[in-house]
Order: sequence, then C-alpha cells, then structure tokens
Amino acid sequence: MSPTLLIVSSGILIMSLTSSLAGTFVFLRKESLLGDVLSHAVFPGVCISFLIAGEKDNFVILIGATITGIIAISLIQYLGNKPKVKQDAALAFVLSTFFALGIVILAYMQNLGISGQSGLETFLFGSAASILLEDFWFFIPAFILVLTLFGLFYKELKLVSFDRKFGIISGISSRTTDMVIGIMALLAIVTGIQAMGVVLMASLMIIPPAIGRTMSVTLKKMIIIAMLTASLGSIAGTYFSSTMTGAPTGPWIVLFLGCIAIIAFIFSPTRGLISRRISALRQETKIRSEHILKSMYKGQEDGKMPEFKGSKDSRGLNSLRTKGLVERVEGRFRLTESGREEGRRLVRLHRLWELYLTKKMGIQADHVHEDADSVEHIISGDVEELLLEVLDHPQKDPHDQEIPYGK
Amino acid sequence: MSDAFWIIGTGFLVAASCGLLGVFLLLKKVTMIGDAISHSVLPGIVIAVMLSGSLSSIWVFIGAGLAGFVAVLIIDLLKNKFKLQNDASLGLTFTVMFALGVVLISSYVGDVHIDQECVLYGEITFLPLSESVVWNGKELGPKTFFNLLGNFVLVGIMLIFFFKEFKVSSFDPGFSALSGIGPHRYHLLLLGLVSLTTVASFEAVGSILVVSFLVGPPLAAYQISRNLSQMLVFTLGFGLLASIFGYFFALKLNSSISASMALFSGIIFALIYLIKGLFLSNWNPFMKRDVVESGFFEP
Repeated sequence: MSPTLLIVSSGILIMSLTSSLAGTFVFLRKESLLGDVLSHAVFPGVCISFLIAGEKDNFVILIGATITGIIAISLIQYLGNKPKVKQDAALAFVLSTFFALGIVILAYMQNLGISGQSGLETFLFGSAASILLEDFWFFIPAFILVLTLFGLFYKELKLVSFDRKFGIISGISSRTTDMVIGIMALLAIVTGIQAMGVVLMASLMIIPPAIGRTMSVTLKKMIIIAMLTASLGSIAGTYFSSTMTGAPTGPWIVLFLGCIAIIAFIFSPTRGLISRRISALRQETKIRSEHILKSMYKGQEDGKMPEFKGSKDSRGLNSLRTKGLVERVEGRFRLTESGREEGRRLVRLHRLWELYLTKKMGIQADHVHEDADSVEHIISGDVEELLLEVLDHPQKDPHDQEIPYGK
Repeated sequence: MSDAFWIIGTGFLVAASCGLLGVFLLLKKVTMIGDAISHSVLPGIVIAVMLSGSLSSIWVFIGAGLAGFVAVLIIDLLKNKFKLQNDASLGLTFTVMFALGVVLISSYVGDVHIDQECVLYGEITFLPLSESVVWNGKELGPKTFFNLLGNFVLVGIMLIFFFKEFKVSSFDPGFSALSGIGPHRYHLLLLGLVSLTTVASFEAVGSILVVSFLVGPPLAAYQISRNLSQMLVFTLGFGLLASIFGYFFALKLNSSISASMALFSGIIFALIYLIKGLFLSNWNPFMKRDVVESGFFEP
C-alpha cells in the first residue's frame, strides 16, 4: 500500500467513524436536516479562511469552518424559538444565506484568479485525494473529542434521545445535551467536508444511522452498525471514484451508502420489510386460527358446525392441524381433546373481557364484542387470573351465556 | 434592451415565483421540503439534457417533473413501508438523488454546457449571450427569461384562482377538510408548482440557491405584514429589491450574480428583523390604530 493511499484511507475511516457516531444522536433527535444545514453553513468559513490565509492551508480552513458552524448553530437555536420564524424557516434561512455568502466569496476569488489551482472547488463535492498528513492534526483531536463527549454524556444522550420529556423531568439539562450534540455534529462535518463536499456531507450523518436503526433494537448495536456501514460505504465510494477521472468523491460515497441502505431496509432480520411482513403474516394466521378454534368450540356448544372457506381459513386450519388441535375425520374437521381445551380457554377469555368491559368500564353490552374479539388473543395467564379475581369468578357473560371453566 | 434589464428581470422572476410559493411553504412550516425538491429534480434534468441535447427544451421539464414525482414516491415508501422517520426519509432521498445527478454530470461528455458549477449557481451572468427567443424575425430576449415569465404567470394564475383554497388549507388544514377543501390536494398542487418553479429557475440560479428565494423574501415580509395579501405584496417587493441590490453588488465585487441575489434575499430578512427587534419592538405601520386601541387583542 502506498503512503498516499494509506493517508487517504485512514482519513476516510476517521471521518466515517466521527460522522456516524455524531449522526446517530442527530438522527435520534429527529433533526437530520440540522446536519444538512450545518454542512452548508461551514462553507463561507472555508472561503473566508482561504481569503485570509491567502493559500490553501487546510488547518486554517478547518478552524474557519468551525467558527461559522458555531455561528450557524447559535443562529438556528435563536431564530428557531421565535414565534415569527420557527425551526423550519430558521433552518432554510441559515442554510441558504450562508451558502450564498460562500458562493459569492468563491466566485469573487475565482474572478480575481486567486483560487485558480488551489482546488477550493473540491470542497463543494469533495475529493478524498485532498486529504493530507497535516490534516490529522485536526482529524484525530476532533475524533477523540467526539468520543470523549460520547463517553462522558452517554447516559444523558441516551435518555434524551429516547424520551426527551422524561429526561428533562429527571433533571438532565436539555440545553447541555443539545449543545453536546451540536458540537459533535459540527466536529464531524468539519472533518468530513474535504472528502464528502459541503453539499452532500449531511448524508454521511443520515444514512448510516438509518441503516443502524433498521438493523437493531438497542442503541449500542445501532451505533456499531452505523459506524461499520459508514466506513464500508465511504471507503468503497472513495476507491470507486478514484478509478475515474474528474469524478467527485462525495456523490459516489452517497450512492454506495444509498445502495447499502436499500438492501438493509428490505432484508434486515430485525426491522426489514421482509421480516416485518413475515411476522405480520404469522400474527394474522395465529388470530385466524384462534377464531376458528373458538367457532368450532361454540359449534359444539349449540350443535351447529361452522363452515370454513378461503385461503386464510385453510392456512389457519393447517396450522391447527400441525399443532394437533384439530383432526380430520371422514372428511370433516373435528376438535381434538387439547383443541377443545384451547377453544374453551379462548371463549372464556372473550366472555370474561366482555363482562369486564360492561361491569367495570360501564360500556353497553352490545358494544363489547368487537373489542373482545381483538383483545382475547393477547390476554396472558396472569391477566386472566386478575380478571377472575376482579370479577369474582362469574358464571354468565353480559349476553347471558355460560362462561366455561375447567372440564 | 440592456443586459442589466434582462438579468435583473430574470432574477426578479425567480424571486417572485419562488417568493409567492414560499409564503405558503413558510406558513405551513415546510420550507425544507422545497429544499429537498430542488435537489431531487437534478437527475431528471441531467438525463433529459443528455437525451435531448438542450437545456431549455420541454424534455427538461418532463424529466425533472418525473424525478420530482419519483422523489415523492421514494419518500412515501421509506416512511410508510420501511418505517423510517420523516426527517431521515427526506434527507436520505434528496441527498441520494442529488448525488446521482452529480455523478451523471461528471461522467457526461457532450455539447451542452452543464457542469457541476452550473448546478451550484446557474448561468444568469451569461444570460445575454444565451439562446434568444425569435418572433417574426425579431430577437425578443433570452429564452430563460421567457420560460420564467411563463412560469410566473402560471403560478400567479393558480394562486389567484385557488387563493381561498390555498389560504384556508395553509392556515387551518382541519377546518379546510371540514369545509370540503381537501388540504392534501392543495398541498400536492403547491409542491407541484414548487418543483416546476425549481426547474424553470435551474438555468438561471442552479438548484441550491433557489432555497434562498423560497425562504428569504417571504420571511422578511412575514415580520411586517398583518394579513396574507400584504405578505404576498411585500414578498414581491423584497424579491425585486434583492435582485436589484444583488446585481449591482455582484458587479461591484465582480462575483457571482445569482449567489449575490440569493445572499441579499437573506440580508433583507436580517435587516428587517434587526430594525424591528432593536428599535421598533412595538412598531407596525400597517396595524390599524383603532384595532389596537379597541382592545381587540386583549383576551
């Protein structure tokens, strides 16, 4: 591996780790667009520091970007609370005005001929090749600072991200956590703009956390997955764009991350489209087969056998047969011993719930059937005990039907 | 006519169409959707340019319209089928589509001048040199100007025609639905007009600076208006001011005209906000005295 390649890829790696970590909390606060606004807002800082330094000194540029970023965050927080501006307009105003200022300065320098070969334009769409060894004097402290903030405020950030109101009630200063998230986001953006470009930087803070969220149910796992996919996508994008002449790095990284996101959204085992479809289907079959059991049990009570038709019914019956609750005798379906018991349990739960609604909740007897039909599937043994206790082991339901117990 | 006239006129038409629509986006608190739309139409524009070979053909409008439609579909899919939260669906969709547009541009080799810079700040400076509209053998003016004029007239007619509906559905969607004015339908119409305006403005100001014109003049007007009609009129006035000041500022500085106009859209809001906040906290020249004195605002 050549030294340049090593520098570039470690720079990309640090950038991805920083921005996915910071991005996770911006994402969980449901303020992903803040990242977009900030990354546009650092652009005038980049241009002004270039104008002052007179040459492309990356370190000065990063400092300038940080300063305008801080101004932008304060402005958004100030204007966002004003009744005649509000959050959405404050974001759009800061984004567009700061960016326009940056372009005015950039075009001014271009027409003076002082930006000529400096490659300041690469800050717009990103060029990983512009990462130099000196930049690590900024990258590494920024990464360590983000990690430290993360470590110090982990508990607070976690609580506020998931339940802001509860966090505030528990005595966590929401102003402090907002500021911590803001600083983390800013450091990540300033680290990333060289490779990603100001226009698309935000996506590195949006897409990896979105993938992490769809692949996991805990914060720790979410962060790890976000960091992994961010590194994978950005390194792949960087190498791909470096094989073509004139191809900016930022857009290619975004396209790679987008592809990973689509795959994750569809195939993720936890919250992906397919796994959610499967569990929805399973739930539907369970409810359908419990209704079949119930109607067969009631059919035995009053001597009328219910009729079954349609694919959903046959799927339900199949599932009951494999569980040994229903058997087929001479072409007709019949409850087995355990099936009868299960049917009795369901009818009992249904009628208990109906009685509970009428007696304890004051609901009319002709209004309780639908509700009981959906609740009977999720009443556990403990809840059944409680219901029996509260209703004092009743014999009849509101429609004057027997509540079946035991054998 | 002079170059200055065409450039300022074009700038004003962008600011006017964007501003009129921006007023409603602002009132509905969805200005950032305008930002997302202006980014998302880029791949549509680029593909249409590649196929038709011109930046001002009807195909560009069709391509961009399709891209905008696809973006709305993807956002909907991410939100409802993939259960992704609202802000992230928006952010993910428009960055990926914009990235696709830039990648297509960077790999495109052809006669039409479309490059990464024109996405960023348009070509308003070179307007006098661009393709002209010729009628009866006489050169009327730049084609972009007339495209934008047509767009402005369309936006104006739609707003006049559906003024009541837009007003009610922006201020009170619930009441609007009860009165039989489907707020969703007018929301879609508004977004449709925004994407059309974005495309019409693309050649002049690119696809990022558009947001300045969507938010700046309406926000400034909002600070000093007491009803919707006033707000619309002020917005047009501020749009005109922004394009005039922006033009001369850019000439003086020898910088980008479109970016400078966009900057002045923001500066006008900042000035009005500061003047109102610092010196005249209770000042409102358009608030009728008797309304204040009659105690109408007392609880």
